[in-house]
Amino acid sequence: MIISPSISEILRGVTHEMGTSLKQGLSDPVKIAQIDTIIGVLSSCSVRSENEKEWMKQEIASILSVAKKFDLSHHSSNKLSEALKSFNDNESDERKYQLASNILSLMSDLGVAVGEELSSEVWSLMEQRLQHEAYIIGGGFEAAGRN
Amino acid sequence: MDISALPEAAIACLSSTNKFYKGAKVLEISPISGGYSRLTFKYLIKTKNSTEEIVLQYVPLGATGIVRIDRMVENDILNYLSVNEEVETPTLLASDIKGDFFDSAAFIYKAETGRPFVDVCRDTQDDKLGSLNRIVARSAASVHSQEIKNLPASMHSPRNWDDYLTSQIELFKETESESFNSRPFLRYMAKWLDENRPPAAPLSLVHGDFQVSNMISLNEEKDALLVDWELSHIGDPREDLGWLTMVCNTIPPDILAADPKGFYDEYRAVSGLSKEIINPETSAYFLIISSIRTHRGMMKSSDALAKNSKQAQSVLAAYYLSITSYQHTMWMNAVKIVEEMKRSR
Repeated sequence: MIISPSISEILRGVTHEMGTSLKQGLSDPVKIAQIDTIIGVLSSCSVRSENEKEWMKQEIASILSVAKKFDLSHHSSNKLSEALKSFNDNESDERKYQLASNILSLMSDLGVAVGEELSSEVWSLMEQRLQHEAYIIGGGFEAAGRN
Repeated sequence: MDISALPEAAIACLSSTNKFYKGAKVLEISPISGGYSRLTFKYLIKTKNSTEEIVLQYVPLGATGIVRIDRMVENDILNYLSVNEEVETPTLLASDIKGDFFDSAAFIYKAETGRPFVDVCRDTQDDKLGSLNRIVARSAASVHSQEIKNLPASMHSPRNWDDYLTSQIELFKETESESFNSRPFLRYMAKWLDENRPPAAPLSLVHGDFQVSNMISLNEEKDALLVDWELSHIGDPREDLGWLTMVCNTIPPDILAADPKGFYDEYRAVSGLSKEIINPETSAYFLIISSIRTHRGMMKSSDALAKNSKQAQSVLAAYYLSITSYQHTMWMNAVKIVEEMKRSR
């Protein structure tokens, strides 16, 4: 199996050519917008392929850590306790990420009633997830064909 | 329908409402970019006596877009606006809702000779952008000042503001439950929106995609025309201000940031709504509310791609992931703005 260049490196090469020689030959604004859209998608795929596994593990660990604090406090809900109990460490990373996401949603459902400390911990988890998503879209966002 | 057949269908459609167009020929075709779900063209046509430009908006058969549109309601509001002197919109020349001339819905307008308002903004120096945002403020206020009882009967009218806001917050929960994965941002926002309800505003006509890209400047001193009404509905007027804030943050130049006070003062003066109701804090709140419809459509589309649905296999379905991520960023920023403003009071 050929593993070098990496998926990320290949995608960077492809998007570079699309954004230069291929795009420069176009005058139709609709086609240019389509090319920009494809470049945007491939660029995101490039970042994901490089970081996705690691970021999923980081987020899972953070979510479980905060969820355990909820469980120890009197602010947990039955659904949250159940979800935490049924979390299985032997599942695939993708499955574990989905289960952890559900736990984060259940913590979000409790809102400000859990007190300032726990609600700010949930906010930090949302920010951690947001930071990863922001990296994937390149820090900002350019609407293809609109800028 | 192949795009090569569109000019002939457009002439047939026009001729059915006005014999003046019978036998007209399309001389030139220029595509207009912008819409993700429908195709827009400017046609130069030759009639018996003269030449004129028209704009065709055609929704390809099977194109669902990211938000389900009731074309009958869109047609009704376009006809309502065509005879309305307060809201400036292009003149609707003909429409085909049932697919009599096209195989799907199409709208034909008189082409306006003005420039895209967004181009005027881009060509204006930063220190003068503030004066342009007054035009945007007046345009928004003119939409929101329409009497609901005069709007087309086909438009759904919510019972009251509280019910309407609740229904919009519920959309966050519904969107999340439709997805096969849990979506913490949606659940977080649903709870936060419910815990931070703003003061009520009178329900009004809402454009639904209110942004400078949907405006045409006739001349730089005059109020601009507002186009693309497909997402119009009756709701909270601040949805348009929230959406405008989001788009201004996304697509430069940010004419709102050029002079926010001037914008809000002008809007309040024309609409008659108070400072308690109309301010950057409520706009931030409604930035979140206003984006749930498109967010829902994009989420469905990317979920379908994950299920390997053939219909969803497109670049756009993948691209929507980036837009939804960006919306998460905007939502979180909006929460921060509202929380900080609350703390500073």
